[in-house]
Order: sequence, then structure tokens, then C-alpha cells
Amino acid sequence: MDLSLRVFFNFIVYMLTQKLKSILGIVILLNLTASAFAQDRNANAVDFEKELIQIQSGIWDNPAMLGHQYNKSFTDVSLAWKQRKANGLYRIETGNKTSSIDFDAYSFKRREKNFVFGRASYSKNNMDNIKWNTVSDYSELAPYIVADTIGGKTYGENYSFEGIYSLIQKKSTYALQAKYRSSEDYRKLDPRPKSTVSDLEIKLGGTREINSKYMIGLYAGYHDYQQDHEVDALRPGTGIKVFYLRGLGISDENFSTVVTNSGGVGNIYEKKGYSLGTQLIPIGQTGWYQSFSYKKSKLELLKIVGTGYDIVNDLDAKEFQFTLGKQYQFTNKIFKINSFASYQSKTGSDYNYNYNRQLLSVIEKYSAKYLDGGFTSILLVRGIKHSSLYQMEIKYSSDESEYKIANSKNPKQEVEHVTLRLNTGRNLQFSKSSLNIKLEALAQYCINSDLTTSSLAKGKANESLIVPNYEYLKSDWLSLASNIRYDFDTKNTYGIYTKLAYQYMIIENSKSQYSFNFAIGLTL
Amino acid sequence: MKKLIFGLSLLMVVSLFSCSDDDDPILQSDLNLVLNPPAKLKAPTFKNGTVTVTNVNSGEEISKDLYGFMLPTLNLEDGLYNFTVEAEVDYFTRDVDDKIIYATTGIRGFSENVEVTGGSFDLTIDLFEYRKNTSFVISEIFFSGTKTPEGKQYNDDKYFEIYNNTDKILYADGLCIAESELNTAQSLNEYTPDVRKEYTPVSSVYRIPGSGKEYPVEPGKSIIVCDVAIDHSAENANSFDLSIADFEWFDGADVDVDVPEVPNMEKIVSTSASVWGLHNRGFTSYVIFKMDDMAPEFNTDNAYHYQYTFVWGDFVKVMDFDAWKVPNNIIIDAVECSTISDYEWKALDPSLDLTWTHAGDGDDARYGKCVKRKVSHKEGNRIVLLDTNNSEFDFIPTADPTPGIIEEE
Repeated sequence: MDLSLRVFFNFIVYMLTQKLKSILGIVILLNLTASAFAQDRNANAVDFEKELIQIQSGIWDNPAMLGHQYNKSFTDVSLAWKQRKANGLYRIETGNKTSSIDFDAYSFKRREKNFVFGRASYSKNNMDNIKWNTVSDYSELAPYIVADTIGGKTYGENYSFEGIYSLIQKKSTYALQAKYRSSEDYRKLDPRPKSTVSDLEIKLGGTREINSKYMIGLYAGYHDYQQDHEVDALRPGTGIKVFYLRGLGISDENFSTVVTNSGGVGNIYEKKGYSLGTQLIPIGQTGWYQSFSYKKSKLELLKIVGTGYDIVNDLDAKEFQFTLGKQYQFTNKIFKINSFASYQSKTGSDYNYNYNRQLLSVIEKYSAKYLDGGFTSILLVRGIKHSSLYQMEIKYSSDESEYKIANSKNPKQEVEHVTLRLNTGRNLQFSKSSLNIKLEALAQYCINSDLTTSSLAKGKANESLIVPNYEYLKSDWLSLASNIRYDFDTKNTYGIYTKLAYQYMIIENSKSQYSFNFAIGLTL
Repeated sequence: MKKLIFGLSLLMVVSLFSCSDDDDPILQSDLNLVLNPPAKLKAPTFKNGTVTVTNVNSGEEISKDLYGFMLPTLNLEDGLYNFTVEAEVDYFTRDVDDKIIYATTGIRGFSENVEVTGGSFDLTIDLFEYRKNTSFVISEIFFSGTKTPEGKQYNDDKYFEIYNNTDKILYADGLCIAESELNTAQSLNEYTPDVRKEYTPVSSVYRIPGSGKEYPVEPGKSIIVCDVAIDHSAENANSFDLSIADFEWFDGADVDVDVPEVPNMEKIVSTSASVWGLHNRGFTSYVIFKMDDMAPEFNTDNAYHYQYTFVWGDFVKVMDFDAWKVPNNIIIDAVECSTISDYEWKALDPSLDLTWTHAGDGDDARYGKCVKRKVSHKEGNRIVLLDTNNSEFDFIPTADPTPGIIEEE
């Protein structure tokens, strides 16, 4: 390993251990990365062909497959302004408007005996009109959300770092991947939740050629997540109710409390998990590929009481992902057809205490199942002056969640969708510049839905949370999106680009949603 | 090819390793509930009744009809429960002519913070007779204060309204109002001596002066007892006029404001060296009783020393407190207050008030709101307020205060 790589990895390790949250760090990392890898400018092609890569995401879960994920070295540095706004239905817990300024730098380097990938990003964001949620990373923690009904605007910062080092040894490849993310979200008005997230994932992977045509891969990963969460109030005399939700609007009556200026609540979310996966891919550009992965995690919500804590809930999650496909390469065409399926189950338990904090019972009450499957096909036609991309995907998904109650009907939510995606793109190469244009149409149709609410739901949760979310989830919608990127080679050593992505979503029986992403970037 | 088979086998191993049964049953226990009828009722025969079981952890409420003093086995999720029993029984008694008659009376029972675990569980609840009130009732309690238009807390406008719920003139002379020493939001660990069956521990007692017939209250009329009897709306647009109040509680010119036009109550005892401020979130309860003679010996005769064990993590300490106690049998009316989020236990014996009422939930919704007794019916022009010694049923929680006005519904 040369000096610059060693510095790069030492720096990643330093980030992981010290949880450094400084933009200065990102800049230094970027400089090191850029100086190490600056040469071929292929970022434009990587961006254009990203769907061709993403279709096999199950394969790329193994860091040792890095050398097959990208076939050229590239570096991309960008600064983006992103915004999403829902005018009608939206997911209540995540707000109806999100704005962010994102800085992102990533680089991949192919070498004779190793591959290296590095990424560093920083995001400053805010979310408007969040209700029934005071935590960060809603989807990671749901349904065990600490919620208030007042809501408000959340401000946040997010840092993430990722590094992969992959070493080739004869017919085998070994790789180490480390990802670290740190974020802080807070509100400026009562109630004032504040969340600090530390999220680390480490993977070890390997591949082995099993014959002249195929290789297999195996990886194992470990995931350690922690969110320190508190809700306070500053205004004298104020009192604001916070609910410890257990699913479908039902809250834990014992832990739910009122936050005042003389007393807030503090919680810790801890999640630990591991993952295992196997892959099969062709060594050349034609052949079958397959991936299977299994992920298991356990989340605990701990409420801080004095110098100790009580477990409020835990959530066990298991996930299986499977893909099977075949890829073909012709003279100037690549075609991939892919089938995929995934299944995720979650079971949550409630911890019940008496007023002396003695544990009375742990009862498994919440369950959720998510299932999806479908087919994707993609065709890339490469030319000297222009390339074209065509993609079609059809997907079925089923999402259900239930809260068990011994003596009455269980509240339950079920939604089944069919989604059709059509995507086309064109890449035009000029003498000193290039242009990517992509158009996408995505339609979702709800084929079945059902909701059973419960009188146990507190604080008008049925009216203001469960039913509006259900209406959003079961709605049919059509999304139209365009993505334009223009790269200009200003000098031999680097290029610059601008990108504008715009998405418009028409939702049945509701007002529209839109999002855009405007970025300027540097390719090295 | 062998390696391919090896790879696929590995995949199968991973698949098998990851499969397990997720459907664990909900932990439940069988509850055998036995109801003990009041001992003073002769040969009681069960008529009808209901038991309401509330899961403290989840808030789930289960109601079952009762057909006797035994209940068929009840299957409950393991957890912490409160039980409330309301029933009617027939029994033998004597009328005014000393003839034996068969009468019907209401009985109740209450048991709280019962830990139901372990597969099967026996619970016995002692029932008590429901007593009808024939005197004053507390019709409104305004304990949370208001907020000024600038958002500041305003505490000077707290008051009680006490209503003559009978058809005859009652005299307010010697009527005392007291705040409970125990807090409904903090159950005390190893609390001793627990006197709640016989006495109500109190922290403050104030008495309306008079020799016995100085302050008549007409049937269907009320008196207002407040801290500062002025028109508060002049100072705080969110408040109201309390210059109509009949009495003030006054804690001394050094700490309190006195309005000379309004007579002061006599301060009998108080654990507070400062102004009596009703618990702002409504965690304490209130009783009224008669003490016709000014009783200087109340302080010593009714002294009450108690202790409990404070536990906070590894820190354990026996806590000692001094207060006073009022015999339950002289209490005219009682109102238990708490909040949905913080209620832990009863400060009053269930025979005085079976449940509790609230203004808001300890949150901002409590400001400018009171607890207000419901109207039962009218007798001629006189409004009769609802009084079943069950505040959850008798009171409108988080109501708009109307000092001096008893509104027909």
C-alpha cells in the first residue's frame, strides 16, 4: 500500500474512533482522496450508467466485488441543493418539506493488485411540519418513536464517511469496508428534541473464482447504531406531552409523560446487527448472477432514569434479499435481466414495569412484514458519440403491521402495491463536453389495503397520524422525473459539471409533490 | 462444478440458520377475583354490577358484567392493573319505625397497581357502601392558573367554588377546605402508616370564619373561595373577575395580597411557609369538611407523621414527613385530581372519591381551564349537581371556568 493510501485509511480509522464532526476533516479527506486518485475522468459515464450498476445492488453488498462494480477509475465532488415539498398527502412523521445543502465527494481507483473506494459527505438540512416524531432516522426506529403532537421544523447536520480497500490475490479477492455516519437533529422551539446519531458498519468480504466462467463471493458485516435522544422545554411554565409510541398510534402509558422546563426526557436507541451474504457472478460480461443476503438486528429503546435506564421496547428485525439474473454483452450493447425478492419481518416487545421500576412482563406485541419482488430489465447501447439506456421494472410489494391486544381486535394496517417503472436516457459526447439526459415515469397502483384502528390510540393519533399516513400509503400516484447533467472539461486535470433533477408526483385525490436536486460538481 | 455446489450449499446453510419461529403467544395470567361485601350490610344479595379492569401500562380497559360476588376467571395480559367495581345489592335493614325492610344500596370497590403475573393470580377486593352527600359540594376547582397574553404564568386567580346542592339553607361558617398531602402522581414506596381508609392526610387547611349562622348559602347558590379577590382581567386579559369572591385565603401581608373588602379565611395549618398555591398541574386533591369551632388544637390532635422509602437507582433513603390528617367520616365532599400521564395512585380513599378528574394533562392545555361538576337535573328552578363520589363521572375535565355561575347544560 503506498503512502497516500495508508494516510487515507488511517484517516478513516481516526474518523471512526474520534467521531470527528468537522467540515475541515471532509476537506482534508477529499484532498487526500483526490490527490491519490486523480486521473481518468469517468464520473460522467458512471453517473449515466448507474442504473446498470444498481440493478445488481445485492452483489455490491460484498465489498470484495468492488472491482466488478466499476470498471474505470473516477472521482466526483459535488455541492447540491435539494428540496422536496408535498402539497397534499405525506408521511406525517417525516414532514412535508425537506431542504438540504449536500456536499459529496467519492472516488474509485482501479489498480493492478487492489481497488480503493472512498467517500465523504456532509449535509445541512431541515424538515418542516414534522408531527408525531421527535427522533432522527424515523424508518430505522419505527414504530418505537418518541412523539409529540405539536411538531415543528427540524434542523440537522449529517456527516458520513466510507472506505473500501480490496486486495486481489491470484483467484481471490479480499476486502474491508467501513462506513461511519454521524448526525445531529434538533428543533429551536418547544418541545425541543435533540438527537445525536452515531452509526458504524464494518464488512469483510471475499470472492473466489470457481472456474473459468464464475466466481462466488461471501461477506459478513457488523452494524452498530446509537441515537442519543432528548426532549426538553425551555419556556417557563410550559408542559408538553410526549408519547412513547408502540405502533399504530398506541403509546406506552407508563413512560409517556409531560415535558416541562424543569424536566425533560432522555432516551437511547441502540441497534446492533449483523449481515451475511453470498454472491455468484460471471467473470466475463455474459452469464448468470445471483445474490442472497441475510440481515438480523436488534433495536432497544432505553429511557434514561436517574443514572440508569429502563428498556422500553425492543425490536427484532430479519431481512432476506435474493436476486437472480442474467447479463449479456454484445458488441456495443449490455443487457441485463434481473429478478429480485426481499422479505423483512419485525417483531417488537413491550416492557411493562410497576411504579418502582420493577419489570413485570415483556410481551411481544408488534409485528410487521414487508415483502417485495419483481423483474427489471435494462439495455445500454454504447456508441462513440452517444449512448442510450432503456430500463423497465415491475414490482409487487406488500407491507403490513399489527399490534396484538389480548382482549380485543388487533389494530392492523395492510397495503399492497404494484409499481411500474420506465426509464430512458441518452448520453451525448461532444469534443470538450458531454450531456446526460434521463426521463423516468414511475406509477404506483394500490391493489389492496386495509386499516383497523384501535381506541387505545392516544392523543387523537388515529385522526392525525394513522389515518392520514394510511391515506398516503394507499394512494395511487404517477411520478415523472427528468435528470440532466452537463459535463465540461475545462482543463486536462479536471472537469466541471452541473446537474438538475426534477421530479413531479401526481397523487390521486390529493395535491402534488415535487422534488429537485441542483448540483455543481468537479470530476477528477 | 464442485465449487459451485459448495457455494450454493453455503447459501442454503445461511438460509436455514436464519429461519426461526416468530409467533410467540402473548403472556397472560388467569385472575380469580373475589369481592367481599361490606360487613355492615345484613344478608346482602347481589343484584347487578360491573368490574372495570384497566391496564396501567397500555391504557386498555376491559369491562365485565358481574352476577355475584365471585367473578368467572379473567384472562389478562401480564402487567400492572387497576380494578374498579360498581354494583348494587339488596340487604335487610330497619326503617324509621324500626321495622325490618328489604333495601337496595350501591356498593363499590377499588384496587390499584395490582401486578398480574405468573400464570394465575388471586385478588380480593373489599367493597364499601356508597354514601350520598346531603350538603355542600365542590362545584369548580381552578388550580392551574392562566397565562398572560405574553405567555407568562399567572397564579393569583386560583379559586374554588362550593355549591349548596340541597333544598335547604346551609351555613358556610366553619367550612374548611384542605389540600391532600399525598400526590396522585407519586406513589410512595413502603408508605407507612397508610391511614387512607380512615383519614385523609392533608398539607393545608383553611376555614371559613363565623359562629354558625353568619354565612348562609341559599339552596342552588354557591360561594367562591380564592387567593386574591380582584378583577384579574384588568391585569391579565386571559383571566376573569374574582372581585365577586366571598372569601380569600390569606397567608400574611409579607407574602400575600389582601383585599380588605373580602373576608379572609382562617389559616388552620399549612406545610408551606409561603402562599398556598394549589398544585399547578393538578396532582393534589381537595376535601371540604366542617369544623364548627375554631380549633387551635387541630395542629396537635391531627398531626400525622409518615415515612416512605425513596429509591432512585442505587440510592435508597427513608424519608420522614409531617402533615395532618382529617377523619374521613367528617368529610363532606372530596375531589381527587391528577393527570392522564402522571397518575400513579389514589391520595384519597375510594369511598370518598372512586376515581379522579383533571384539567389538561400537565401540558399547556391546562392553563385557563378548571374541573367543573356536571349538572344532574333541575328541581324547580334549582340546579342539582351530579354527585356520585366518582369524579371521572361527576366532573367535566379541562372545562372553561365560570366563577359564580352555575350553568345549565
